[in-house]
Amino acid sequence: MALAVKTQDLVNNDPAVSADRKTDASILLGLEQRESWAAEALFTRLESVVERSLYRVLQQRGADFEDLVQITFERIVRTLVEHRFSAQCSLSTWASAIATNVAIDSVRAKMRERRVFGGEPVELADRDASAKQSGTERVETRAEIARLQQVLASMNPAQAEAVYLHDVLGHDLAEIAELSGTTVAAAQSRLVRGRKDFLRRAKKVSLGGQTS
Amino acid sequence: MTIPDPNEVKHLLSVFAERPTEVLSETATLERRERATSQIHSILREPRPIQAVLFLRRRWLETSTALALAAGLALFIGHRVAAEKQVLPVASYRTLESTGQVSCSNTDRSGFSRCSPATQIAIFGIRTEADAHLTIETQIGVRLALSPSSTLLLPNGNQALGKSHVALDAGKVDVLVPKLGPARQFQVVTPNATVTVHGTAFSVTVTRSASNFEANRVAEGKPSTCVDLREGVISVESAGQVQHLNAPAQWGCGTPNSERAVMPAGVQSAPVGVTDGASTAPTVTGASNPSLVPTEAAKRRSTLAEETRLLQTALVAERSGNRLGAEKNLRALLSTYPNSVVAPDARAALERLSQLPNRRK
Repeated sequence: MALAVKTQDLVNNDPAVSADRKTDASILLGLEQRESWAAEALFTRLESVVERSLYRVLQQRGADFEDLVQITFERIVRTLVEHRFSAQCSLSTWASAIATNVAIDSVRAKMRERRVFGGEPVELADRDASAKQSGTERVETRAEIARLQQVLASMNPAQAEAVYLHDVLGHDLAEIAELSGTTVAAAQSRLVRGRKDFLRRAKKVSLGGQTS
Repeated sequence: MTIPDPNEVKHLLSVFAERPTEVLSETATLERRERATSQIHSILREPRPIQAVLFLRRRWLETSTALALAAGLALFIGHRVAAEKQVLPVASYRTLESTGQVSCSNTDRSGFSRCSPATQIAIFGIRTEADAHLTIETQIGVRLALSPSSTLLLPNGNQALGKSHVALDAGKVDVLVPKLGPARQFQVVTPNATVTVHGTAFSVTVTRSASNFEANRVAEGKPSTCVDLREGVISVESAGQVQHLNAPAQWGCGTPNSERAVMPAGVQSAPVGVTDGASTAPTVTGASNPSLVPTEAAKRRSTLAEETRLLQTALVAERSGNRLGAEKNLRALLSTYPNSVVAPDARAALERLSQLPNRRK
């Protein structure tokens, strides 16, 4: 079972042990046993991962960023208590994948809102992110990021996830299969089809010329 | 399908490179932690869902696909089984009398093996050995008495269908067909003839050896058919020609048959032979063709007419209120011909008469 804990990990179940020192298995066991310390330990373990993953996709800390953090943690905990996490990868990797999905979903939702209600384009990259760039460069980078976010958000979610996990986060196919809950063959198919669709859509929004 | 350039995709996506994030204030960090841990606690306090429900929810796509495949497979198998049943060349019968060794086949004419006919309920073919006699009754009440060394196929899977038939591959079968409905037929098919009846008694013989009594007319190994009609009316179709025979008559028989199949007690046999040569026109004798001289066997009197006469006389007497006369004729019919095809009608009439009040006697 995914939540099986080795004997040497039992020491980690001691609440007195700091969250930093707890292993993934002990945190999972604590969640399984509904221990109160497990919530703290999980947050401590994953907070920075979740924040970085969200920020990497969104490239900004918008008004809803904190809400996305909470949504990500809710999804993570639900997948853990429902035993969808099979411990074939680390908790951090798992949380990173979930955060990425939450971020892409967020962009997709914003695109949908704009299509329905109109309004200004999505605010782009954080001002501080490209502090060393000139004003023109920053604007170009923001526009490019916004277009790529739209491309990802308009793709098939499973394919977008595979492309992002592989080509941005650097996961291999086995990890992607594990993170997506599918087979390696299916993950490879999603990746190939996703890349093709990504390039087609990217060229459609006039990104092709910039990359050549 | 063109394979996209991974490097081009990676280059485009390089804008998502990790960048340093803003450090939150202590207050904001605490607020985030409090919200998150509170949310985690509330989730952990939720009642645990049943594992099976979780599994189905988690694997709904696989589960629904598997269920759909299972349903499709079940439908396919059911359809195939139904189709198999529809074309399965077996028929149900019950054994009335059996002596000697009998072979059965449940599949085709080559799959005969020794069997106990009493235990067979569905069968494709049945074969009697040299010393065996077998009398069976099909679902529609047709009695078939096989002589020794006979092979009878029952290819009609459902003998209760309107048009039932058996195929005599070799040997001889004595047939007693009860009254059939107007839309019903019963046929005995031989290699070179088809005998169609509606309610009668007759025998059909197939001879394959050139050393038979028609050897001078039949080519080596070619089958010949002899139809011996004792009661009723039948039609025989052979070589594209249909001939109607009225009992007593024979078709295709050169000489009277020397052997008789075992028939149920009370069944009257008056053999009239007909033999069909494969390359010659069949010889027809009997009432169907008055110009021809009947054989000795054909001259035997049919009992069907007498049975019918007795029944009709009884029914007329019953309608006219002559209960004694009706009973007398009915009892005479049943005592003389207990296995007559009209015996059920006679018994029903007797039953009716017994329920009448005595004053009408």
